Amino acid sequence: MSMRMRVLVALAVIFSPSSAFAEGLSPRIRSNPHRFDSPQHFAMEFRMGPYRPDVDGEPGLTSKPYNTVFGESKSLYIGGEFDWQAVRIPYVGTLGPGFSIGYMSNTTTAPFKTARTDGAASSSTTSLEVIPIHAIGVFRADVLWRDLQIPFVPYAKGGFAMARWRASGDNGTDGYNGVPSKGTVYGYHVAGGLMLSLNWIEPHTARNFDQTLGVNGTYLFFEVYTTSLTSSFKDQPLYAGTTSWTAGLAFEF
Amino acid sequence: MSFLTRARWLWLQIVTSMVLMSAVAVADPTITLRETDTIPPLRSIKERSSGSATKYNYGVNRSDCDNDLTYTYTASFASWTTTGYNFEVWAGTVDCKDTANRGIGGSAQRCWQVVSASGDARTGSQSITVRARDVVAHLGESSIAAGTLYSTASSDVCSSTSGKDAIEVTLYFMIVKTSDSASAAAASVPLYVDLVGPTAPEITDIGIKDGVLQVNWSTTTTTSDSGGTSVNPDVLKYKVWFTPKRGEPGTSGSTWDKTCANIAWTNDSTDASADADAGTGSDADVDATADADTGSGDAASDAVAVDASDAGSEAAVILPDTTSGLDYVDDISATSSSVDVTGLTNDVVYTFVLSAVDKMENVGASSSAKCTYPSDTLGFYETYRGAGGQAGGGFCSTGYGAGSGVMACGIGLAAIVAWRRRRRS
Repeated sequence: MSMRMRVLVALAVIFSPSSAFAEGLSPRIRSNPHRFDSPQHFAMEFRMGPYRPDVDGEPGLTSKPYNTVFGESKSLYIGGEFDWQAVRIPYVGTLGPGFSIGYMSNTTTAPFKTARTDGAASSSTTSLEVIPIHAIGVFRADVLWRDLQIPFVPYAKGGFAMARWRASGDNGTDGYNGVPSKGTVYGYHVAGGLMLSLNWIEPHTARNFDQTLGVNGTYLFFEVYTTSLTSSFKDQPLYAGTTSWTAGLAFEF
Repeated sequence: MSFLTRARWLWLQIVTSMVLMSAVAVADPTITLRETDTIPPLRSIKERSSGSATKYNYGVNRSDCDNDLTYTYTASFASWTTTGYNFEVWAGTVDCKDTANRGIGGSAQRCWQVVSASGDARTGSQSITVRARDVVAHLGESSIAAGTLYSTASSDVCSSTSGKDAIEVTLYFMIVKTSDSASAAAASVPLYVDLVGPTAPEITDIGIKDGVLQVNWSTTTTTSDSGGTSVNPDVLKYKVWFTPKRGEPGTSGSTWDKTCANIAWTNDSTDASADADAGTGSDADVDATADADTGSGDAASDAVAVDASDAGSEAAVILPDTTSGLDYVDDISATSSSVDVTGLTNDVVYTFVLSAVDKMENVGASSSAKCTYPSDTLGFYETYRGAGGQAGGGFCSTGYGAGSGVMACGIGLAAIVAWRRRRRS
């Protein structure tokens, strides 16, 4: 046995499922957990994470308006992604197009322009909403999990990104000298992450999930990404992109 | 003629007399009643016990009483061919067919007449009109003087609301024998009477926004036997009045000190009719205050002068919808405890009062008045533009810098069309 094979075997032992679950499976399934899987063509992700649009990174600004209004806080981003695993590269992984959409909103109290004589506090709110949309290529290197039973699937994504944004206040969408406070920006999106197979933790449940619903694999994932949104049909784009991380649940089916 | 023959003849006479007498008894007049669709006002009132079934289609609220509305019923009479009967209409919360409840024989009278008695024989269908004030005239009285007959009730019966809160009154349309006042025939119909509005809510604070003031209040609640509180089931909605109206200049800047120390909202307890009397002589105290504070306060103070008589009690108060100085927000849900009054002008002082409205559309006593003014605020987008940012305008929208946006849209559409043509070729 070569050194390489020894390392792989050692990793397989370390990450092998608990014996209690493994004992409940037939020898044929234990030898190849994917032998009786249903066909797999798609993936779906549900994700969340912090999001702070890089508004203040826009060149030419004389101050940091996002930081001035919203402070250092980050907003919660929630989103979903749907991938078509169009191509399976043997002993490597899957490759295909994907589409994702998400939403973030940051809302805070809007201060008075001039101080009031009665010292009353403002009840006004101001908010910025961003809906990032990505059309991307997705590569998932599931060889580790499928062929070596190491329950990790690294992946990479990249492609076109756009976002709709809107700033609003008490009276709906804010405006400024007649300019509606909303727009669309374009750019690119790149991401990389790692998925942990939950099938490895609960193989029996996973098999039932596959047999009843056709879900081949369930994963927890962690991803870092950069969405650069610095282009627009308008004169100036709002830099609504960000560099951040996200985590969630993924299904392959 | 033998004794036996005489006895038979006498027996025949007795039987014949009995048959004739019974025939006369059967011929008592009859009355049937149907409500016409012309009876004002038609209200859909939820039965309180079940909270869902509509029990009473018709009722009398404070406004109906103040306005002296009438209720018209159609009664059909039959077999009224002889004298010896009166047509009478009684109201009460007990069985008015019982002579005792009508004070006959010296007993305590508990019902009262709502239409003058008439001895004329009636036939066919006839309209009978009943006044709302007569219906509530003796409601809530512990005793009615025996022998009290119909007399036209005045408006005073409307402002006297004791015992007139959510109670069922029954109208009895009766043909009464003149001999003993017993009811020969009767038809009845219920009327729901509620002259008392919900208790006054209290404005807790007013949130200040840009062109918007958020009025917050404590909802009117009821307390159960176990001590728990819940939203008063009698409350149908809330209504907020404010002044000046949207778009009117009101008072602002240096002409008003903005401390609201000189709120000119009066509770005129001398006028129980509860109508709005902005600008009338009853607002002398308001005028004086406003004059002293601003030197030119007549118009403004008259505008906010609203008769909220009996404020603090449970008497219903009719606040105006269209009085010149007042604007309002209506149909606020009974479960709400705040409302955003929008479309206001920044730095203009607005004064608010609030009332709950019950399911009989009685407007309850108004809250105490509070005032403040909206202020211009600095939102994110204005801050961004102030920092030199130029983004905005939407996708392919018009507006500032629209030229390039429209051009970009045009280029995009042209590219799509060209691409499709190329594919076809």
